[in-house]
Amino acid sequence: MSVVTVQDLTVRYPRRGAFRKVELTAVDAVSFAIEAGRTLGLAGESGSGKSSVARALMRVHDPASGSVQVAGREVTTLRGGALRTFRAHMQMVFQDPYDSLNPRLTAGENVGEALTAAGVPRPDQVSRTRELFERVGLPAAFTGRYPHQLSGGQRQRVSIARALAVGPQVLVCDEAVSALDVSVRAQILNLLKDLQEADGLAYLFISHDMSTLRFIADDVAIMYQGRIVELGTSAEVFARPKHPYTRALLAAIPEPGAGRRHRRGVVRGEAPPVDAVLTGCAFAPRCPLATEICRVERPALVADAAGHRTACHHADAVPAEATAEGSAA
Amino acid sequence: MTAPPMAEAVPVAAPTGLRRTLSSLRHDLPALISITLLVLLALAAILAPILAPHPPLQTYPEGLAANGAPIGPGHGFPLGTDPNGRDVLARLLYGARVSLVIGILANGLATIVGVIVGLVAGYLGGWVETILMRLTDVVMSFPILLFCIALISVTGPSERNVVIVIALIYWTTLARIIRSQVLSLREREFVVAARTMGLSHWRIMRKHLFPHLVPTIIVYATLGVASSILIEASLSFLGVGVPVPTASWGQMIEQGKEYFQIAPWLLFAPGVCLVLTVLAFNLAGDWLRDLLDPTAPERR
Amino acid sequence: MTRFLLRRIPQAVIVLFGVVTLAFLLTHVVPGDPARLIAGPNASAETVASIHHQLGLDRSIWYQYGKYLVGLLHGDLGTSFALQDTPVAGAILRALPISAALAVLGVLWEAVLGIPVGILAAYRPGKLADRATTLATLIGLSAPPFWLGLLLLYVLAFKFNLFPLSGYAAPYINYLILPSFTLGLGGAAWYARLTRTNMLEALRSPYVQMARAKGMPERVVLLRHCLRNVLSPLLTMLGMDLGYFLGGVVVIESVFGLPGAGKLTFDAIGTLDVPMITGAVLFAAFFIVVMNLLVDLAYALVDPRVRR
Repeated sequence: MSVVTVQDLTVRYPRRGAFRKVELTAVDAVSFAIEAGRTLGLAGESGSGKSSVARALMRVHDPASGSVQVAGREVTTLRGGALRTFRAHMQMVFQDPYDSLNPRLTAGENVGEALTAAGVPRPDQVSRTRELFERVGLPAAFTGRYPHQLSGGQRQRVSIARALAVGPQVLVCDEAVSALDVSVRAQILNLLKDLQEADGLAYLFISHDMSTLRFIADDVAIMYQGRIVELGTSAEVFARPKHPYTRALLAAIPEPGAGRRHRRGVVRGEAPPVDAVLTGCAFAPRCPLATEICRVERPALVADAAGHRTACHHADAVPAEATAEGSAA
Repeated sequence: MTAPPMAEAVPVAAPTGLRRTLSSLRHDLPALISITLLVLLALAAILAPILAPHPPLQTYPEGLAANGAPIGPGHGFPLGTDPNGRDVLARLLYGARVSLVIGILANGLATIVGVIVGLVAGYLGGWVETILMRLTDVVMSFPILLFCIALISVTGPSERNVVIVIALIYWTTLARIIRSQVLSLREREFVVAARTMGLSHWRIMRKHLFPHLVPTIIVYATLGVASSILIEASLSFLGVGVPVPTASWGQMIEQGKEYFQIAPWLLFAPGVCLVLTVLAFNLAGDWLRDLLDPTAPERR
Repeated sequence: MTRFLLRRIPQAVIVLFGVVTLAFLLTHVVPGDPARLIAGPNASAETVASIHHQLGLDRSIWYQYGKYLVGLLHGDLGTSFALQDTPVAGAILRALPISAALAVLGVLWEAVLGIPVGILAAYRPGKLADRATTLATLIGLSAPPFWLGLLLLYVLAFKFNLFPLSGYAAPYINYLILPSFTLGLGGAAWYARLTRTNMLEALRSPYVQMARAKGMPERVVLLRHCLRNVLSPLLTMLGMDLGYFLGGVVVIESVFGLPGAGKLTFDAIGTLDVPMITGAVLFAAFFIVVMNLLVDLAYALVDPRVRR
């Protein structure tokens, strides 16, 4: 059963235009679901709206429309005290380990704040904090250190401990390992996997890095310009990508042992400005396969027999094998 | 199994606040002057009863010349006498108390109001922010001194009223500064994290926003004392400040005004004290601003 | 532009309304009884009560406020308590030209003294001239104006007999030079400091570096390339200062015995003349709000980005 069900989530940001108030649609009718104990990877380049999805889920920024259900409860309509109590179900690990911890509080106090929010009485907080530090692989002595005395990886462990403190069912990781060195990144990813196995947590794992997602995600959703263009199990999407954009993203992954130099910037050109009015497929201007229909009609997200969904008019037209070569030309 | 603790290099802690403060003082002459002045001022205010050669309110018949004019420095009165035959030095020392206490109290109150308004407006946003910032605009449109005078003239001059009136008018600048800082702070990840944890607004403001505003508050509170002391002196000069016969520098200058052709020391002594005091607070504020630099990013 | 005006003018009106309300409430709600003051300490309770009635102070605060607002719309600020049968608005308007002359001259002094000194200091930062001006400006900012005024009176008027000691008579300009100079000194210190900071910042900017690299003489760089960018924010501030001064500068007018709006207010305070005090505060606030509006307007005319 799904712990998180998102239906037609739309997020808009107000923008002060030159003459009138313009709204920018960052997320456009996005739907997905995550089951307990599983990880949905959300991929896309910067500006694709993946962080806006996270912020809307966490109610940092209120969505314009759509529904978000967590553990069977509608989240988007919660207000005040009910919202605050509900936040314990869903926690977030942030991108920047240098900014996500309060620099004026010790690592232990940072976690203690979450325990306070969860209503853990003060006398119990010290022992609970130590337990949590142990769970994320930090020595209990680190509770007394300030964030600036910790390395990036250690800070991210504190962030995870803080997220776990309130006993969530869902963890949203927004580029949680992107700022870390590759070796440290692997350690944190392993830690997240271990925690998931132990607690049956559901992860929404946001990353622009496809190799990270290949490692951690059970399902993958690819976002482009505020919409999901491809959604399927990790095995399906990585083995048989259908959307030209997904193929381009995958082609950009450096392959270990491959003789030739890996190619950067396989997707030609820049994404159009987010506020450009587009008819048809948002990817069409950059797509090697684009035809007349792509510029006129917006493709719907359609599932194949295996439940692999793609929003592309040419999803079945081109053999998967041809992509790496074709898009590089 | 969880991963073992990592043996990564741990950055060395920054030098302690005190060491940094002292070393910065050594290299900064104006700051050293300002701290020295402030210490002397505090000593004068505290030790006034011991240092003063005469009681400040006592009038001495021998302190006036035969024609009733105040007498100059010397003759048992180190800085001369005022038109009532009172010792000027004693009144100066006790005047330091008035300036400091009123300046610090008034500005302390104003700081509290300014911080609360700026913090609440910046953090909560929406209609609360609109109302609070419009109110700030309105108060900022008041002619400050004129308004203080009007208020005190209606409530009657007293130390308490002077403090309240200065505080009522002087919170606006800080409120605006704090609000703009909060607006950028609330987008920082650790504040967003505090919100997503489900902490109460009150706790987020107290624990996650306020500590980061402290450097700014210290700087502007110090500079504000200078302004408050000047306002108090102006009010007392106009006769709507500290009521007579309590010694206040502004009011001493007002008394000296009538006699300045024959007794210029009545102008010089309290004036110099005022200038040095205000200068000391201004210098201290500038120095603290360089030291704490609230506009610089937080990372160490 | 119309759009800018449509947004900015109602805003100014709202602020003015807020000022009226706050000024009225604060001067009427706070304790203190003008009737008792007018009647004198020995007056009987009946006398005080009858004066109360005469002044309309026995009605509810909201009635008084409403009456005041209606009067205000007709340009009537009420009648003075102390000066019998004198309309407040007329009295203030009669005193205003003196305050206006003082204000304009004061702002002139600020600019004439402050800006050149700031440029001079920025010309060779860290050198003697710079250090001297830094010290002078700090003292200028720290000295209370009423004390500076008395000091100037003592030296220039009393010792050297260059100016009249007090009052206001023909030739008027003689009576205005010292007061306006005193008024401008504090601001001049502030502007010198600001000019110096902004000049130094402009000197570091790429376009100035470019002008230097092209071999332009330093004086041309300083005056043509830097000053223009430094001047425009200063001009808006000078405009706002003018607004603050126009309502009457109580301290200066009282030191130099000038019968302007500030002196009028000061005298009204002594007699607890509440309508006169409220009226003076309103006039002063009006000038501040209007000058702010004009400054914004000037800015929007020069810089289209502000219009939004």
